[in-house]
Amino acid sequence: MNQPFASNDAVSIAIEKHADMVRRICFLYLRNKADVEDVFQEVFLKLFLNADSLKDEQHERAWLCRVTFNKCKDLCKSSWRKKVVSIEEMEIPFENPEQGELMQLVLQLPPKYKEIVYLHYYEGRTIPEIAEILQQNQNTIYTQLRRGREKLKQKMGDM
Amino acid sequence: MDSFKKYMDKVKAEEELKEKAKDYVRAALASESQNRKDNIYLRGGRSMRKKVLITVASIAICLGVSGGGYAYYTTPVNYVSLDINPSVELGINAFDTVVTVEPANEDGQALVEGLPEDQDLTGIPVEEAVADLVEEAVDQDYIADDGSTVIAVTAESDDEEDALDLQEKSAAGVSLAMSNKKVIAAVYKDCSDLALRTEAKALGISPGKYKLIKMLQTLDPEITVDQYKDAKVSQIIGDANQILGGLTEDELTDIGINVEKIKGTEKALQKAEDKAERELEREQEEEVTSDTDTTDDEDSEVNGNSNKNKNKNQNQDNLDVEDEDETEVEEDEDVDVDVDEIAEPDEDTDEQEVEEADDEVVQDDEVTTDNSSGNKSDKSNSGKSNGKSGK
Repeated sequence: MNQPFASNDAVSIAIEKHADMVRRICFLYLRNKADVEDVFQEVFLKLFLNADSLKDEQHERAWLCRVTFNKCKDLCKSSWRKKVVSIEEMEIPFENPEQGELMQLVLQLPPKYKEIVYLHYYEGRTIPEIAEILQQNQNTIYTQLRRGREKLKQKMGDM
Repeated sequence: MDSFKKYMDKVKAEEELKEKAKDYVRAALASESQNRKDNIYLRGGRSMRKKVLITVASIAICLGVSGGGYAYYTTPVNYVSLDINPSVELGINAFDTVVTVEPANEDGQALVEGLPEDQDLTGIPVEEAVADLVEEAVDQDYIADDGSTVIAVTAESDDEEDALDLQEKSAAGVSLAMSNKKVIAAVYKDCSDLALRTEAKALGISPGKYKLIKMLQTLDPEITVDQYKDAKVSQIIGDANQILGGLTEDELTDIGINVEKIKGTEKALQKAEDKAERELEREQEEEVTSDTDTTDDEDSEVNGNSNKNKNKNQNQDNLDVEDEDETEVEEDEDVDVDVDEIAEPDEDTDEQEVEEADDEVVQDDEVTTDNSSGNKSDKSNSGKSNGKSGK
């Protein structure tokens, strides 16, 4: 797999193929354009460097999800980011207030629920698949998904 | 959750973002392939490089610490010089353990080489190493049976307390060896600083002997180091005493504290010689008395011997008295000379022998007192009879 990636076309193709997914995950965590750029570049570079170990497209996608989650979380954890408040907040316009409300609630979830909610409800992954991607026990994933849902419901009830 | 999905659908990667990522990845891949060619070990990126660096650094630190500890353990900080005539110098580390053994002359070389192969002097305490060396010296006949040998131990250290401590430990080692081997010799112990050791090394002699020769030079400035380079310690002490004998009281006080030490050692030497002589005679005597068919001639010899012993004991008593005076003087002047520097090999038997000798003397005395009392009674009897007759 390394060979096709080595050419410029391969880089373009791979990035075009996965860019939206990576961007969405970044959207769940990051509000800063520069951070999103960093994650984007690092994640794709890592993809090409590890291309040899990725079996097929399905595997590649799952792998990319995990790497992006980890990169985003690392960036959120870094002390530099905690101290520096970005000026330019990236906002995506809401078409109607209801959508925006739910989205806001998902974004406010703790990271561990956020990624499961994303993988399950947006990517449509099954619990065993999510467990594989996040490298956690299936039961843990069940529990966290349930709790995440409960939190969302509770917050929606509050509103 | 549909609204969530719809909303997320709208999130798309901007063209600008994609282009930037493409450019970055292409550039990075190009430089990465270059790096891969350059260095196969560091291709793992920054984190891998960091790990390698940390590993290398920690190994270096471990080696440094253990190497430093080993160097500290094996580096001699103090020295003990043992001189009989074989001269051997022991290097002592900070834990009072012997780490180097260096013969200072040919006899010393022979002495060290004569040690059994499994007997390694390094890594053992000073006392034991000194004891082993002295025992070996006895086996190689460097220590005379007549007690005329002086064993000098010189502790060399820049720290006064260390030097005194080492001096005592070494002297204890010598005493131990002498009692093990049942030999008698005088022990001369001394301290010096490391500067003297350097001087002695430059002259190619053992520091212990060098200090003795220096002392001799204070007595007689015409003496050269070469003259005494291969001399026995006992000879140096003897010569020193001879010179002392020819000096007046004033001259002695001018010279200083060395005098007391030499006198002390000389006295100790005399005691050692006397003791050895007595022991020799006792052995002869035992041989004679064990023989049941003793003739009158032999008896007379025995008598002669016991008379000699009597004289010896009297001499010894005189010596002891002198010694006591000496100690008082020494204590006053705060000079570190041990009068009992003669180690007493096998104290029990020695005391026994002395007791036996005393018994004999007492017996002799009894005989003489009996005689005198007999004479007295004769006299008194005769006096009485005279008186009676007078009456």
